Amino acid sequence: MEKNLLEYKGQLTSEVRIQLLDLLNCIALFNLGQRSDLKKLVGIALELLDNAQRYNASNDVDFQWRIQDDTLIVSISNTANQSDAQRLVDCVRTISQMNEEQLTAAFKDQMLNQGFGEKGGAGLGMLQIARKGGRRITADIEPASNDLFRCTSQVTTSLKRA
Amino acid sequence: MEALNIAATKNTPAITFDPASNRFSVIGISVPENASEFYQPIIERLFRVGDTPAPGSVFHFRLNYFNSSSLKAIYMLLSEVKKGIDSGHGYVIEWCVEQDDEFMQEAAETFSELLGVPLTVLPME
Repeated sequence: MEKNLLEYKGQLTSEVRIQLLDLLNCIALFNLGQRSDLKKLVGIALELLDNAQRYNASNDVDFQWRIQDDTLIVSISNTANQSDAQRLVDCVRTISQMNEEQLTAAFKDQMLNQGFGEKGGAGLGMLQIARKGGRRITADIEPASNDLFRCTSQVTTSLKRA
Repeated sequence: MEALNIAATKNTPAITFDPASNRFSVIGISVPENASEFYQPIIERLFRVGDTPAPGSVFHFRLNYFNSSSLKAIYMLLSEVKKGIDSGHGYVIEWCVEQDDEFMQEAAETFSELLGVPLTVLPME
């Protein structure tokens, strides 16, 4: 059995999301020990789960939280319609090219000048992940059945403290 | 204004306003799918024209966790508090932080910077 791995495949409902959040808080504490950034690390997973629930065409997800050496890797896969899938890829591509100052400016703009999306998103999830230490964020999409796309997002974060 | 009592759920905090003590509280976890749907009616109720919280009211936040959708919604609520502060109502914003909790500490700093008002940071009881 692989240590430091949490994997969930199945329906993502609000209830499941809350249970996963509780479980992640617990396993983060016991596997990483008490540290001041625990909520930030769990927050990466929460934001990915939020996005996957909000923009999911089937409610099914494939979620992984994995610690390899000094790195946390969180990934999630779900199906979405074409516009939501493309928006995810565009968002991650844009954020990946930003430096710290640009991330801060984009965050402030989103907070101060932009409203909520149709599905209740604030457009802050990926920005927050990047601002809170997500060292590498990727998003890939591939055609699935019935005009849907399979979206896979992954965040890699160093667990080393400055 | 009248009392406000919204019970906590698994993904939303307890919201109360006690007109006797002029204290508004948000306590618990805030991770709803659509934070705007949850907070907007509360904002509209709290800051109804001609029926706003009395001067000197305290806005107390004791959250264990929130998602980015809630971050935005809480900012919208605090923006209304800020308008009251700017109008001389003497509102106070209290923000509780557990020891060694970067997430909540940075949230306090973010709100303070964006709003241009200091938050009173308190240790989590």
